[in-house]
Amino acid sequence: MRAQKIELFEQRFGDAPVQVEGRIKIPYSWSVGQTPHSFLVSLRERQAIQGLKCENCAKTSVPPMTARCPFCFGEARWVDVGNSGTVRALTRFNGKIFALIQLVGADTCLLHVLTDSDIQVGDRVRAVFAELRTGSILDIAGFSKRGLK
Amino acid sequence: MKIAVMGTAQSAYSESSAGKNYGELAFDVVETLLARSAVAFDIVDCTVSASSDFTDGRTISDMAIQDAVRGVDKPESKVSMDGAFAVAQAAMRILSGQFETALVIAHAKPSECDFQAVTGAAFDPIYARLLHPTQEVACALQASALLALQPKASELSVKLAAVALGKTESQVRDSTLLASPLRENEFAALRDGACAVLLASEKAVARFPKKPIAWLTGFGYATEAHSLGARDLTDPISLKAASQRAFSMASIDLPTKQIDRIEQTAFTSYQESLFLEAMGFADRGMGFLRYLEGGVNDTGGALRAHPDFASGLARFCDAAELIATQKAGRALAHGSYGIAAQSHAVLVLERN
Repeated sequence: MRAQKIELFEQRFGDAPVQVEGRIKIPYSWSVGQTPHSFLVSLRERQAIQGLKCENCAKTSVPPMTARCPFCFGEARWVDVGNSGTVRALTRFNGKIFALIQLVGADTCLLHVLTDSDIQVGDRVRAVFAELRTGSILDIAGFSKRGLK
Repeated sequence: MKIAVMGTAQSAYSESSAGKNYGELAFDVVETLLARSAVAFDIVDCTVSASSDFTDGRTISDMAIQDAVRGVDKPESKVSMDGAFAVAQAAMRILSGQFETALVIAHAKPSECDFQAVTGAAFDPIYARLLHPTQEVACALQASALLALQPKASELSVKLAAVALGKTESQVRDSTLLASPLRENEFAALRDGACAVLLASEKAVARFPKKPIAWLTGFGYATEAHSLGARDLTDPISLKAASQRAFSMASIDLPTKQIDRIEQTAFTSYQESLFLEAMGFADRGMGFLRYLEGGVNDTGGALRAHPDFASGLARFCDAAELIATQKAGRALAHGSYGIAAQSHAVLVLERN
């Protein structure tokens, strides 16, 4: 009986290396922090994109990660940047178009997605806000060429 | 500053290493390294390894190779960085005077996980990750930004990838468009594998039966802004800083004249060009042409085989072999990691 079982097992698995299947799924709930909080709340409440303008080197960072300038670590203050800007780089991947967009008044680029397929590097685009906004980067549904003033 | 490279060992780099676990991959290269250096493990004072927890699917991934590096009761540590950074850490351990020898090891087994999910986890969870970008996206955005400045980059990239892979240009051009403007053949080829190096202080060389195969005379490393949008992706300033530190330590004034061979770690053909420019081997816009002149990644580099987190150590092994076989008097080994190569380590190797 046992020999028969072993034979059946060998027929089924042969010499294939034994592998263990696994999947790691760990839920997180990240605090966005004081600076991103302000940025995300202004997206949600005002449909406005904020940057931090450095008092020292005058560069404006969007989106800001901490209260200090990422270039010179100087003190920075909140400013509104434009809801439109220029596409500096783009790629089509997995059915999406990712882009780096330099908003008017910003010295850095925002990573986001484009909603139109006919956009090229150098084109002007504007933020399209989601109707239901929750305080997330997805409150901007994407960037589009349509409706530019 | 002078640290002896007593030996190197590399596994084959393959698309799958099913049948061996991480520890066995690492164990085999350590055994080869000890045999080639004609020493027993007792000679190793400390170990520095490089590996990725997310790729290994377990935290504290150096525990996966604990037996291979005889980690119990030994000073053992890990960098969650490319293997070239592990060389720098090991060198500093020796320079501290507390250790005379160090084993450096790196392993990679990306075939056993969803690697795009792993690189996606490198993005910040607040602003970027909800959009689901990956390393491919970051590198393609970098290539796109470079293409806007250098319209000929697309054509030159195909030539470069063809040379690196030993393929025809039309084969490269016909490979799958993974993330525009980059085709599959313009990306590093993800592979499983492991490599290891044995380092020693000048004083400790006498304890070895064989002479050093090369000397490490300079190293430097640096990082830049994590956010893709806060960087000029066409101007890797962290690589400039890292290479200048390494050159200064090795007393190199004119890298183009004083370094014979370059072994660098690039995730894309566009990075092969950008990195040569950042290290001063080519003027801006001339990196592709410099690569095509030869003497850079002559075995194909990461475009041909990229064991992620071990690639920089593989380049170091290749550079040491170039010195040992008299193909170079001075060689540079480079490693990088992070989204669109955020961080870089540069190592200088010499014959004497």
